[in-house]
Amino acid sequence: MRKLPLILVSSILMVLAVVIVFKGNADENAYQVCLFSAISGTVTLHGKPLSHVTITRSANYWNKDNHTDSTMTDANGHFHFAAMMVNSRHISRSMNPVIFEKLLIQTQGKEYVGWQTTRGDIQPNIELGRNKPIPELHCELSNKSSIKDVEAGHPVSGVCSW
Amino acid sequence: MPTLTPDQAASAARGIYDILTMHNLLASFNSSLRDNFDLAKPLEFNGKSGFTLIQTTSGFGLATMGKGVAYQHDALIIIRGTSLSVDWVTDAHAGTAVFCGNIVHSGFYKVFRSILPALNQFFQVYHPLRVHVVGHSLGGAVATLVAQWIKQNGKGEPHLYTFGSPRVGFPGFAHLCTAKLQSKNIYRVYHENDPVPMVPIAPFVHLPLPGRAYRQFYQSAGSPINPEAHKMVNYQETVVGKTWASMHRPIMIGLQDYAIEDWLLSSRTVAGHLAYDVLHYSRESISYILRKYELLEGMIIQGGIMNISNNLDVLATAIDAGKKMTEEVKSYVIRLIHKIHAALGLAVNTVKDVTGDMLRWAMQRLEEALFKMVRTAVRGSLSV
Repeated sequence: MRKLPLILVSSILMVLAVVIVFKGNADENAYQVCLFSAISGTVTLHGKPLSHVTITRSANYWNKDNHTDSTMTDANGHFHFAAMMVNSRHISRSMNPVIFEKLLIQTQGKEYVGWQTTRGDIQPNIELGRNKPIPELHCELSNKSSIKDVEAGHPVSGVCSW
Repeated sequence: MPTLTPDQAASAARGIYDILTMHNLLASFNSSLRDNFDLAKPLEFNGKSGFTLIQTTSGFGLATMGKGVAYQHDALIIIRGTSLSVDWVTDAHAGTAVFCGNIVHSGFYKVFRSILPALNQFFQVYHPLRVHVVGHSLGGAVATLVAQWIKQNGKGEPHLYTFGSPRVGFPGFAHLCTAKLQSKNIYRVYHENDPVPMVPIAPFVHLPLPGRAYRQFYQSAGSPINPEAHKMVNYQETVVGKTWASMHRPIMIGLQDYAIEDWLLSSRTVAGHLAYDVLHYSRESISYILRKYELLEGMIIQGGIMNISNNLDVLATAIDAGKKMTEEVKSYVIRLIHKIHAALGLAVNTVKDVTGDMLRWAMQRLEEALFKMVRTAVRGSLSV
């Protein structure tokens, strides 16, 4: 007879725990937004791969909420970033987000804009048109920064090409 | 080239959203615009080249001149709106203002007034032959007022390009613009399932009237109304590579009776599938039923056929007053109530005796469903 309330209480607690865990998971995914798609490429100077070059990626929403991450090129001058996903309720709710994204290449005290554009949506792989992953970039630092047209999209500027 | 292509217009409407990030604005526009308009840098003090930045608390934009043989006599004005509460679209009794002797929406007019000094400055320096005026969403509504102002004040021949623009004014204003700007110079692009062009509700109408509009399908024809369809990125994708000729369709005033009867009697409405036709046809059905009713009772309709809320009131009041209905009219009212319920995904009970309140309730739910989607569609796009 004494055990019954204990079982009752513990089962209520378990149910609660399950609800909390599930709710937590649901919230975690509900406001996921992509601020920058997966991007990778090779940095060269006069055709020679540059290793240990710092690559910094930044993205912001309407000039606010700045997010950055960075990596280094490997021995072959190669770098890779996974998609930059963040949790943001207000960005996910915005129907016309203006997300400014920029990839900086820093080497020997110099800074190059590799890739710069604005994304108007929160899904991955939209920079070059819907569901088009960004191809491997070639970032030749002796090139002049140029503006490249994107069919059905926003122009991309910087030294990198694809 | 006297006219912007759909790609050029879309790139302009999209690029202007970058104006707040204040990086190199040149990189915000496709080469088809960069090569033909002066977008490299803001106009310097006393300078001869550069674009004029329009920046007030409620409106943003830029004005600039074309270059090269093709565009040297052309100006480009791109407008985007900000800081206006979403009430502007969802208020059934939208505030009005008088512009060029006609009634327009007071919210759009307010933004227009705020950018007027900058426009005047621009036209003191430049005297273009043609002026291309572009805008998306609220920016499209303000662009419409700008185009009419340009024409009215002899500042050039305006060409207007809007994407997902809400309705700007009453029929008088639409007729005035159609006569002044001419239908061929008005490029109103809309997605059939974008909720924003469906507001403010009647008596607000689109221009040109009558004339043509440029309809595109986000998803497919007949898709449910979807706030996603309002995104500028989605407009840019649907118009890419298109010509104006391939997109245009005639816009007529009202619907033919047989089309309304067809719709009322058809079982095309899918449960919970709130598509464009439900909104459009249910409003038209009200005035159609009223006309049928009127013929019978000799009633006089106040306010004319464009005024839906008035029509609804007249019809509902007549039903409640027990005015005699033919079986045909009664069946149409029942069909209409059924169809609205179905579209909203509400359970439909068998209706035997209709009341005015049933009709009012159904139409109100329909409006609320639309307004909810409009609010979602413009969320986050107006904030600075």
